Amino acid sequence: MKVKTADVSKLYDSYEVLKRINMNVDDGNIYGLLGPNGAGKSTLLKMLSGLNAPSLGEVYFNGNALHIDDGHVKPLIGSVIETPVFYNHLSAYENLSIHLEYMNTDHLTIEEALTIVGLKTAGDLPVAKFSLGMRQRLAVARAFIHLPELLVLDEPLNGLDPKGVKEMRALFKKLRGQFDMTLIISSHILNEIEHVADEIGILHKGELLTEVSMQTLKINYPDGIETFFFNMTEGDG
Amino acid sequence: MLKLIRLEYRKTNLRPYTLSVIIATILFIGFIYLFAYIPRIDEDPELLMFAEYSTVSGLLILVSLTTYSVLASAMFAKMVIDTFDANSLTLIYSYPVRRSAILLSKIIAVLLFTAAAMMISNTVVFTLFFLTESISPLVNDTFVSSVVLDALSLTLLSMAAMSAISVTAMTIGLYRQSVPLTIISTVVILASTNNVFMEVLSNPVILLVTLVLCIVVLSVSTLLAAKHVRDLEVA
Ligand SMILES: Nc1ncnc2c1ncn2[C@@H]1O[C@H](COP(=O)(O)OP(=O)(O)OP(=O)(O)O)[C@@H](O)[C@H]1O
Ligand SMILES: [Mg+2]
Repeated sequence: MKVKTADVSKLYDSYEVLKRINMNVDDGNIYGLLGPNGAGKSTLLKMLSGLNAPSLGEVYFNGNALHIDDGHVKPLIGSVIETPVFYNHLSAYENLSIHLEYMNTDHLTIEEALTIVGLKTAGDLPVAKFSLGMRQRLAVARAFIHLPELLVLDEPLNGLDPKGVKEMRALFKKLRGQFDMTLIISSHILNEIEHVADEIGILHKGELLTEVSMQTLKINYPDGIETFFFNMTEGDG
Repeated sequence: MLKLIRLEYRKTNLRPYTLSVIIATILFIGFIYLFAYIPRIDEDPELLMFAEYSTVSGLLILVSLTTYSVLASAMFAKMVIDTFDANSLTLIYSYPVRRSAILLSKIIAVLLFTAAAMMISNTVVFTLFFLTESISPLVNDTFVSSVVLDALSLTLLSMAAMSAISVTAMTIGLYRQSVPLTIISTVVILASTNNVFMEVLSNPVILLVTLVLCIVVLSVSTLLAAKHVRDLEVA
């Protein structure tokens, strides 16, 4: 088990955004976290990547409780959360270089990472001049360049054109296959992750309704899993 | 820590700040000759205090303290308030470095830059002024070595004061997550402490007390800022 949460809740003031989440992400899997807008996906992913602490409960990473100021685990995690932030006046190359200085661990070369995400020729351009899709690609490069064990991606296909979406899906599989990474990918569009995920968790109004493997789903819903997703979140979602 | 400080400089575009320092130094040279020249404009006896080196040096130190405190708080606004805002936090919190260590490296980076700039700038201005004074003096006072020593100790004290003032303003700005508040706090603190500074000139005991006070205020502000940062959450 790569990541496990034990009764994780998150409260803002007295409003419970996440309610006793018990999530299990197997080593080497691509885990798709599905849920409509406002379900709490980003809130959950921030805790899984060690950015915020849960209000209640515990996140376990490789079997150990994850703490936000833990210097040892941070290099083992890579994440893209919501709208990525960069040092905008610096080039893509410089941004990755500074990231690696902080991470201080084994890594791909900056050229390799930029090539993988298709930004080879944009390396010297200031990030301020990047398009939305280019920023998204760079954010993904920054998340995997230090070769983490866990990659947490919050709506990583945002802003990408169809070609970019296809490339990115292939990249996710490559990162899992070639570098043994475990991936957690969130989306509010089922179609975005049903082709890459091994397992799916459905989050709705702060509750994890179910966790199910794609294999099981394909057997039970041979016509496509839209019906399943719709059934789960139907009503007021 | 050294590596963290070096990274802060790499992440920041220092050119506008360096340019400000150069412009400020040129203006200070103009000011110090103006201060020295004032009693000669007409023979008003009330302006006679300007005929002393201690007044001329003291005024220049005040101008320099004001300028560099504002510069430091502008740098704090950019390098601390902006990076500790709820969105940008994602970036620094993904690094395997304690939050308080990042904050501390930023504070040291800003203070090193501004204190060094202050030292260099004051040295250039005073050296030039004292050189021309030793050749053809504008000030009526007798030019003795203690004048140089006073200028030096005042420069050191104002470096400590600048650090205390700007970090306090930064901490106030950090609690409200506000860039304008950081700058306004600097100006308000400066305005309310100017009097103390003029007293310092004549009394070495007050000078020492002020120095100790600056160090205490600097430490307390830094601790309060670190405490605040520890509890911050990514939005
Ligand atoms: N810092 C915060 N303070 C108060 N409420 C918050 C905060 N962050 C999130 N929320 C609330 O928590 C709920 C879940 O937000 P979250 O961003 O996790 O949803 P999401 O599933 O990522 O949605 P989307 O698909 O739109 O990205 C929302 O109702 C939101 O208003
Ligand atoms: Mg979201």
